Parts: sequence; structure tokens; C-alpha cells
Amino acid sequence: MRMLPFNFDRLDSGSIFLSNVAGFHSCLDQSEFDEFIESSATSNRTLNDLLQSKLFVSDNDNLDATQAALSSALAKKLLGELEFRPIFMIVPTLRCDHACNYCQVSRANAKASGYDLDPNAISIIVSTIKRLSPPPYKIEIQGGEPLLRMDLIKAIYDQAESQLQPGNFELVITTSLSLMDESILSWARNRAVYFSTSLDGQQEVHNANRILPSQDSYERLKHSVKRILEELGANRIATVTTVTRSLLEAPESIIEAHLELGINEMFVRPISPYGFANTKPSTEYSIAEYMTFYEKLFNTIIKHNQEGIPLVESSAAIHLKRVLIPGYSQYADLKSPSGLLLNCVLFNYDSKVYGSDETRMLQRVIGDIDFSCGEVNSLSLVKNDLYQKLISSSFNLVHPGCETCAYQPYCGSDPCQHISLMGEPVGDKSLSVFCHYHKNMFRFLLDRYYSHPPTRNILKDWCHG
Amino acid sequence: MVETIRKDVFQLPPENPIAAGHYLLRTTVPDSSNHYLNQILIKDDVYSPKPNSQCITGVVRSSGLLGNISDGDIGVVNANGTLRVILSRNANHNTVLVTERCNNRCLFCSQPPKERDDDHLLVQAGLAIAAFQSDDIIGISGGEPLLYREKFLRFLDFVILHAPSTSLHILSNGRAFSDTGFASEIAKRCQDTSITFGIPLYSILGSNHDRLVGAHGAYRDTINGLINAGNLGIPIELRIIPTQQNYKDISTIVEFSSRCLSNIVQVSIMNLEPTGWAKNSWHNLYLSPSSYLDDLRNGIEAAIEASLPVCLFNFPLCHIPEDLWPYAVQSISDWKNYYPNECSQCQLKSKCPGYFTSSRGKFHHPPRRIEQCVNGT
Ligand code: SF4
Ligand code: SF4
Ligand code: SF4
Repeated sequence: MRMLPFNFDRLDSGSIFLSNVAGFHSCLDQSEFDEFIESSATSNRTLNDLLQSKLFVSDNDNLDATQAALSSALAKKLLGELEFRPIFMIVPTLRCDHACNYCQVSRANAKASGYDLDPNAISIIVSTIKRLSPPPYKIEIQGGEPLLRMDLIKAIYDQAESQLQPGNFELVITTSLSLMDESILSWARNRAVYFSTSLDGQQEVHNANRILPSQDSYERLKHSVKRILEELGANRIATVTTVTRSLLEAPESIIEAHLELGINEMFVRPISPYGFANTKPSTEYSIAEYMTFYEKLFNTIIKHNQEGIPLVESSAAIHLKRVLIPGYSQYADLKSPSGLLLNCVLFNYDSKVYGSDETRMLQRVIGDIDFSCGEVNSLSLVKNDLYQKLISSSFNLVHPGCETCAYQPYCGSDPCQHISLMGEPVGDKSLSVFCHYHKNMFRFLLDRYYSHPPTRNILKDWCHG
Repeated sequence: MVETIRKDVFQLPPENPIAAGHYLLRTTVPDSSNHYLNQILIKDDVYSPKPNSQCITGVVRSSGLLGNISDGDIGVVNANGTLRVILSRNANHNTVLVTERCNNRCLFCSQPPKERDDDHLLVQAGLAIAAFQSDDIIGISGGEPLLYREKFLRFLDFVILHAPSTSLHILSNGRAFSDTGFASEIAKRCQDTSITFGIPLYSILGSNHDRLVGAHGAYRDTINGLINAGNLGIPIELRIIPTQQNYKDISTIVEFSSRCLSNIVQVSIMNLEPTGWAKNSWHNLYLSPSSYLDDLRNGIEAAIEASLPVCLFNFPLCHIPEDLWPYAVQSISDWKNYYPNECSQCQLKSKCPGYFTSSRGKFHHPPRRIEQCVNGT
């Protein structure tokens, strides 16, 4: 028997998580692991067969075939993740009626001028989308607060309908819902329009984060969500929860808020640690603090599930899908190479085109580098030097730290975050917030998955749902 | 005699013998000769003189045969005076055997390999396919068709040229694809016509696969072959036959295919067929699906997870639980397919794969009662 290369990590329960470049994984207990390291085999024959089937060891006769299979898998994985399958984002306006604490760079005042998309650009944007990829198209309307320019959103929809054909696209509007009204609802009713909104906990926490002059962000959101659920159905609304310091203390508030609104699926993530304003500390809290919070949140969600309330936490689902589902690379923020440009093309209000939401934000803080791939009229995705460099430096397989990490096949890389915090795209993983967050999520979730069968069944449902 | 769904072998009346060979069977007098095969006219039993036509080489008077064929079917006449319909317009599957030679010795081979030279089969298969002119799929089986190497490439060229609308499904053990040069020659031809290769993989434990296929080194070749073929863009139907020796490997085979192989267009899990060599070691091989349901389910789940289409072949519906029915397909070629008497009352019959005619007697696992369906309650 010959052992083949693999990485491993010790989980909380004491089990050892193994993975190889092909993306196979296995979980051994300490004594099995020791035997395996000692003699390339454990005393458990079924386990040995499994380890061999997953290419952690090979019999000598078939070594070349096993090695060929490993490299074939790696090639297949890289090709899959290199596929150009973008979500198209359009920013109709940077203006916003909110002045949220953590959003300094991606907004302008509601009354400001010069922050709106030229209506004449819409038809070119849509034809560019059509030229760039085959259907189906997912178009995400970002902001600012896009509902300030409902006229532009309607124009985008109409253009999409005529150029991309109905049935070939869907429009997701990312909004605080504060400006939602009945006319928008009835417009959306028979159209492929979906809403995505930030929900930062119940009234008190949400309003403390999401600052409206009228101080009623939560009440407005609640009313709008209720109307969407009544009029359009549960599949038309999704939430994102960004965890701020104040929310860290109140994981139940997130669950309660979702239950209160009648939404079962939540998507909870730490605040992005971009050091945009140099005066602010790079993050508000450590990932260790976040994980304490997340564990409480997770446990409560699982408890609800066991009591028959089928809540889903999507961050967990995404991390597990990366491990469990071969070829899953749909989530732009957790893949390698990074999803920059490959999974996102963003049309900014000023006609500039970016490879992600983060690059347009980087642009606002680092003015002297052009982070765009040109204007929509003079677009050059392939020849763009900066993106070539960013994407080629985002293969975590060869990153110091990642190359020995058990989660490398499932993890990703975030060149923009590393540029913003460390001034270069690869990042020192020992200091990287991206690394700390994902490593801890993988560790935590896989530990629960393997050490607790009832939880595993719930997590399986999340992955397949 | 068991009633098969479609009869395919007929004893020819002795009065006017037909020379052995492949023929295009006609029910009406053709007005031109066929480029590829001689034509024989099939009439009913009532005597009528041989039509005066240059285009036919003989007449067979048999109502039984006439009632079972369509104009343009292909038949093979053997020296012992039987006619077997090999390509039938009424059949649900048409398969042509191109060789009986093989470099594997699978414990359950339904067509146990012979050593003798049988190149003529390949030539005749090409002619038969060309004469048949189908726009459907024709199965190519063996033996191991790819042992022909260069000659097989010529055969494909011939079919592509002379029967351009015919698609091919080729059963192979995939070993020949370990030769990258040969695999790329096949891949080129896959661009010109629709060709799929059905290739079995019985385990990711090399020794287990080798034991089941009775050939040392087969696993290496098949794995390298599958990798090459997939990477070159040859569409592959991956076949798994669960037996007592490998039923635990179903889901690892599926995970392996989804991670390491490309161009797998379908995973087929096939219930063992009690023909050929499988009969000899039936009791060491066959396992009732009910005893490995979890393995079956995990395999199906793994395929679904990886977005690989997955099908169960040859599983009578009453042998698997209802949640697996959506994956079961009617697969058994109709000339070897039958439904025992117990099935006549079964409401699932129209959707059920039924049984192999060869599964009579000691190989038979009787239909089971499906509470909610059989009596329509
Ligand atoms: S970023 Fe961190 S968790 Fe992710 S692969 Fe690299 S070392 Fe592992
Ligand atoms: S590969 Fe196996 S089943 Fe196929 S013909 Fe050869 S011996 Fe028979
Ligand atoms: S009784 Fe016959 S037709 Fe019905 S499910 Fe069983 S094998 Fe199929």
C-alpha cells in the first residue's frame, strides 16, 4: 500500500478530518489516524476500503491509475471553478435613504446628484450581458438604495425582457425595502422579480444598525416583507444578516426577527473587515468572538429544527456543500480561483464595469489604481491586466498556508479583502480574517456533521434543499 | 415456453432453403436492390409463386415471421435453418454483436468470450446497420468491440458515412481507451455522429474490480481509459452491476466518477442478469436488491448530489421500494423480457422492467405484492 498526499485537521470532537486535492474527504478517530499514518492501513477493513476508494492510499499495482485519477480530479475541479458563470449586477444609484454604520463607501446621500445611472446606458448594459454569457441570466440590482430609482429598475426589466427574452432571466433587487409600496408590489407580481434585504435582528438591533432619519427601518421592513409574503409568496424574498458588534450579543434576535417575519431561511455572515476608512479598526470584533456567537445561533437553529420549525442557515449550507457536493462552485465568495469577474460582472452607476461588489468599493478608497475593467462601451474583460493578476493570484492551492490546509479544496480566496487589509492579494493566512472565518466555519460545521448524527440529518437537508 | 414480449428467432420452413447470411427482410417486393445486403421477401403461408424480381434472392413463407417483422428489418439466417431478427423496427432496443472475443473474463458475462477469429461479424454489422438505415440508437456489443482497434475505427467511419442518422451506443470495458492515441481517434468520430460508450466500473478497489472481471490489470486500464475518454469528450454511460462482492462500492464508484471523471452522461445501476456465466456463480454473485437498499440509495443520492443522471436497470418494481421507482427504467430488450403470470394483475406493469426470460427456475425471484398497487386499493 502506498499513501498519497493529503492534508488533515483535528476537529473539536477529536476526530481527524482528511482531504486530498481531488476533493475527497474522510473523518477518522485518533487511533485510526495513528494506525493509518503508521502503516498506511487501519485495523478496520471497511475503513481501509473507503480510504482507498477515496484515493488516500493505493495498492502498488494500481498506483499510476490512482495518481492519474487524482490529477484528473484536480484538473476537473479547476476547470469547473474557472468557468465564466457570472451574476450580473447593476447599480442604478449610489444614493441611499439609510446611513448605516458599516456602509461608508457604497452610498451617497439621498439628495446628492451625480450618483445615478444614465438611462441611456441600460440598453448597452443589457446587450453586453447577452453578449457575455448564455441564458439563464441572473441580474442583481444593487445600491445605494435602488428603489429610489424604480424607473430605472423598470427600464432594466423591460430591456431584459426584450433582449434576453422572458423566462431567461430573473431580477433580484437588493433593497432595505423602506421605499417599498403597493405599486412596486403589483408591478413585481407577474414578473420574474425577487427581493433581497438586510435583516439585522429585531427592532432594536436592526434600527441601531440601519439608520433612517425616521428611525423606523425595522417597522418599514416588517411591513414590506409581510406584503411580499402575502402578495408574491415566500420564494420572492430572501434576507442577509450582517453581524455587527451589537448583534454579537443577541443571536436569538436574528432568529426571532425571521420568525416574526415568517421567513425560514437566513443567511448570516460576519461584517466584512474592509479597512476602508483608515481611522476605523479593521474589524469590529475577532473571528473567535464571532464563532462564539455563531455557535449559539447555530445551536438554537438546530433546536428549532428538532422541534419542527425548519429554519435554514445558508452560510452553513454553503460551506458544507463545498465539501459534500462535487463540483459545487456557485457561490462567488467561496471558491478558488476567486469569483472575481468569473462569477460577477458589476455595472456601476458611472458606466464603469467591475468584477465584484468589493472591487467597486476598493475603488472608492484606493483612488489611484483603476480597479475597473473599463467602461461598458469599451469593455475588455480578457485583456485586463489587473484582473488577470488578481485571478491568477487567487488559486489557494499554491498559497502559503492553504497548501497544507485540510479545507483548501473547499475554501476560496479573496484578493480584494487581502488588498484592503494587507496591500496585496494573496494575504498572510495567519492574519487573514477571510482565513480565520472560513477555517473556523469548516471546522465547526464538519465537527457537528460528523459527531452528531441528528444534526447531520438536518444539515444534509440544508445542502439538498 | 415462456412468452417473451417480442419473438426474435424463427424456424424457417424447409421447402426452399435460404443460404446462411445477413438479409434485409421485405414484406413487399422491392423495386431496387439494396447496396449492402441481399433481400428476401417474407410472405404468409399461403402458396404463391416467387415474384419475378431481380431484387430479391429468396422467399420465405411463414405467417409467424411475417407477423413479427416490419418491412426493412434485418435478419440472420443460420446454417441450421433458423432466422433471427437482429435489427427490428418494432423493437425497443436494437443491438448488434460485433465480436465474441474479449480481454476480460467477467464472472457474470452474459456473452462468454470465445477466442476464435470473428472479424466477419464486424463487417456484417456495418452492412446490416447501413441496410437498416435507422435514425434511432443501435447498440453495439461484444465481447469487447474495441479489441478491433484500427478495424473498429474503419467500422465507425463506414457507419458514419453510410448510416449518418444512426446513433450508436457501444458497450466496452474501456480498456482500449488507456491508449490515448486510440482514444483520440474515437473521440474524433464522436464529433461526427452521436456515439455513447457504456463502460462498466465495478469498484474503486482495483483488486475487487479485477477479480470481478477476471483479468489482472483490467482496473488500471479501465480507469486510465475512463479518464482519457472523458477528458477527450467521449460521452460515457457508467455502468455498475451490484453483486455480493461490490454492492458496498456503489456510492464510492459514483463519487469517484463525479470527482475524477468527465463526460459521464449517465450512471446506470444494473440488476444482475442470469445469463451466460452469471448462472454458474449465481449464488456467489446475486444479491437481492432488498438486502442492499441503503447502498443503492446512497449511490443514487451521490449521483443526484453531483448532478449525474442516474437510472436503475432491470429492477422489477416490486423488488425495490417506492421511493426508488422514479429511477427504474424499462430496459430489458424485449426479446428477452417477460412478465410472469403474477404480473398480469399488477397496475405497475406498464412502467415495470419485468424479468429476464433467462431468470426462470432457480434464478427466479417471484413478483411481490405491493400493497397499495397490485389490487388497485
Ligand atoms: S484561507 Fe485559510 S481556511 Fe482557507 S484554505 Fe487557506 S488556510 Fe485553509
Ligand atoms: S467485458 Fe466482461 S461482460 Fe463484457 S464481454 Fe468481456 S467478459 Fe463479457
Ligand atoms: S408484479 Fe410484475 S409488473 Fe408488477 S412490479 Fe412486480 S415484476 Fe413488475
